[in-house]
Amino acid sequence: MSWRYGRWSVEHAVPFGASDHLAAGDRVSAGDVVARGGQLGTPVRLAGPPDELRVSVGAEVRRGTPIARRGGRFGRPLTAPIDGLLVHREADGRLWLAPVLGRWEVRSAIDGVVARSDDASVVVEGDAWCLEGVAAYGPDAVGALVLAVDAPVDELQPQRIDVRSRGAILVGGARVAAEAITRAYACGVAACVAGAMPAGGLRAVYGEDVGADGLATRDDRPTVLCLMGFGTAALPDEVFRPFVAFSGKRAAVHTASARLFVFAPPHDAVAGAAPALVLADDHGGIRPLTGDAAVLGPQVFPSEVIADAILADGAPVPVANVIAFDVRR
Amino acid sequence: MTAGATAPATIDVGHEAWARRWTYREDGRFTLEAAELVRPEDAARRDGGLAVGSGRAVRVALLVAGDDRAEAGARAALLAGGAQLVATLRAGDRGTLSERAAALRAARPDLALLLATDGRGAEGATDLAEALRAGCGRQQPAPGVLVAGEPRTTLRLHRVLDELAVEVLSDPRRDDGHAAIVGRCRELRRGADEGLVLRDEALAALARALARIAGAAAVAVDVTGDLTSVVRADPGGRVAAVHASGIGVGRGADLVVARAGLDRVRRWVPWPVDGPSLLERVFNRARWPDAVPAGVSALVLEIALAHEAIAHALETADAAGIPSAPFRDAPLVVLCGRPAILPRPAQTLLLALDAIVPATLCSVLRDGSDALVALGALSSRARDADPAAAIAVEVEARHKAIALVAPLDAPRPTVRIRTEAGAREERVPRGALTVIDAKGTVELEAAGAPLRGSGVAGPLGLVLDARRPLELPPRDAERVPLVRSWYDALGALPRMSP
Repeated sequence: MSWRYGRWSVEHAVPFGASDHLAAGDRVSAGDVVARGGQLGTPVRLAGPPDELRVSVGAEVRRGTPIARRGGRFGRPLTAPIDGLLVHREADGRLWLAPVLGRWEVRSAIDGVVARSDDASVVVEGDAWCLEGVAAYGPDAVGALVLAVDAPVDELQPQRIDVRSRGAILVGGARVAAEAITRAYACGVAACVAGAMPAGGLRAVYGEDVGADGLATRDDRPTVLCLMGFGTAALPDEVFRPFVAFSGKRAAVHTASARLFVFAPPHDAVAGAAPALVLADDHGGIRPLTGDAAVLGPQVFPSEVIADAILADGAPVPVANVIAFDVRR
Repeated sequence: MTAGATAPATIDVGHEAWARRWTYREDGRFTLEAAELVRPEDAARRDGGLAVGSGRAVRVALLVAGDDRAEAGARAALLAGGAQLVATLRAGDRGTLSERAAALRAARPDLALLLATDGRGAEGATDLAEALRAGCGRQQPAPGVLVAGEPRTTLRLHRVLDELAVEVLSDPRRDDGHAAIVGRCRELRRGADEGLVLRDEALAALARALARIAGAAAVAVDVTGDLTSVVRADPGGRVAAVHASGIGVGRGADLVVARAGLDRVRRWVPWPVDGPSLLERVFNRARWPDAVPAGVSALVLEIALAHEAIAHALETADAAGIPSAPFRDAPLVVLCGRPAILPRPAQTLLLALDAIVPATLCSVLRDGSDALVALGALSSRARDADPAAAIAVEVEARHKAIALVAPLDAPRPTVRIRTEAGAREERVPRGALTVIDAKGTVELEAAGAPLRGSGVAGPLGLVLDARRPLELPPRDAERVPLVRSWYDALGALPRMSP
């Protein structure tokens, strides 16, 4: 099964410097803020360990605000020397206060209920249609799902992207090249989803260090989700057809887990079993297995490797190079 | 071990998505009987069976409030333990509490190694410990902390980090400190799987057994999907090891490219290939466990990745203060893992020549059936006082040299070769890679080069390698014919190559 309707759990990592996060049990929609905090400047260590804290770690305070009491029975208040965020309390009780230079927010990638929450992560659980990809890059994104190709074998062409696609999650068929990714970003597109992305294009967009495992970021960058692999990979009909049914529905991409969530009722689409995937002999692309496959037994391939093979679409393919669509890899 | 024959048991030598299951008997010593390939669906071990694998990745943050030598010692221990170093923070570096805490939060370490070996660095060590508390104190699951250092500072750090599981160990430069770090990393990698023998333990035991049999140093080189290891043992049983976690020809292929650079991988391909399409193949390979290189270009890519994975492991060793020269200076080199199951033994040999660059006369072995790794794993689990002896007979029976390699580092050395067929002289021009058809024991002596000795030539004969220093021209027009000539010299190119 490729598309699946069910209950999903999504963990949102929270960076250091959180000032606020939702509590367990709170309801959220995809795109709602689940945690917020500050980009911190150089923190200052406040003098002496306080006896009693008046504000908690993570609170934002104004200069002069009493934040603690110290000095025993006739003690005096410890006041904030600057506007800032109380970022840390040392083991001996001393406090660190950091100026806030900017703000960040972590937004939910699914409609649901907060299941667990602390200043390191917020987990939201909710019901949705889900399609798992192999890798995603960029920040999480939320938007309406829009088909931007006519057929699952098509490549998303840059000329099909304009500012009318602003805020949308575009579905490109077999491939979205770097030109289309950057144009989509410039037009305010929330994310691009396709069977494959060119690895070289991903490096051009996200930097030389980018790998095949994806890159979840928080900064303002394009968001892309590769569903099958890299290079070119035509989407199987069983995967593409629900995209047609979901067109216009609200959706979200969670990049850390490379998943696409579509917020539509369970009866909106029929999830069919997707065909197996076949890796090209030179590893340069991936295609869905069409038609029947027959077991051939051990075969000698052009590389002189001897391996068990199946006859797939008229040609022998190593069994290891054929896997189910939804195998976690 | 008990005397008398026991019932056969199994050991699975794992690859990415399949395993080779060896049946063995333990009868005072280990004897391998038969092997079969098992797929993931039936790779569940039989009752009490063992498995050889890489274990789970262990992410380590290194926090340094000590001198450079202590840091090098810690890096060496982490390399020997197969850990992935995900963050390094030094007390002496500029960095605020929030920057350090943010870096540690993003790194999500499983283990933090805090060095406080310098008593004067107590303040710095405490600051790093506070950054760790701030960044990872709420992490689920919380990271373990290893503290190595001066006793008073260690005590102070213990108080700071009381919310985390802290373990105190001795200086990583000392043998016991090194062993403790390696042991902790392996424990985490193994998890709760009692039947799992880590590949690095198996390789160390194998190298020890080979060194003992040969009476000389032995090096085991292993490349899997996401772990590249180079292990050297001397006849006395002392082991030096590098296990580059996350680097390999499968799951770790993209990391090889990220670390070494695409051009360094591309340079080993014996025909022109454009970077973007090569990168595509690397990424697809990284997300396809145990993909079979059915096409020639996929096979050559795997060989190129293995080249750079091994080279990177040796460079990492140098950077961590483990000199790589001894790894190149062993009379016995065994290749395991993916390089050992390449279709042609000549391809394995080419890897040994170009990635390890042997500096002495050496026999190259190939563990094409995972038998040697399985025996190493069994030896590492043997309860004998002398575990190497428990596998010595079987290793001796199963190890066969594929070639004898003579590296020549002189302008035009003349090599006198004496084999069972007679004596001859070869004049080898600088830069040449020459294969001599020789059988059995070969004695050779090079005039004009410091090389003299004997060894057993395997089916690929004697290889005279005068490519010293081994350098590749940067331009495709010069490099491609040269690399192709090396492939041709050994007969390593498949017939259907472009």
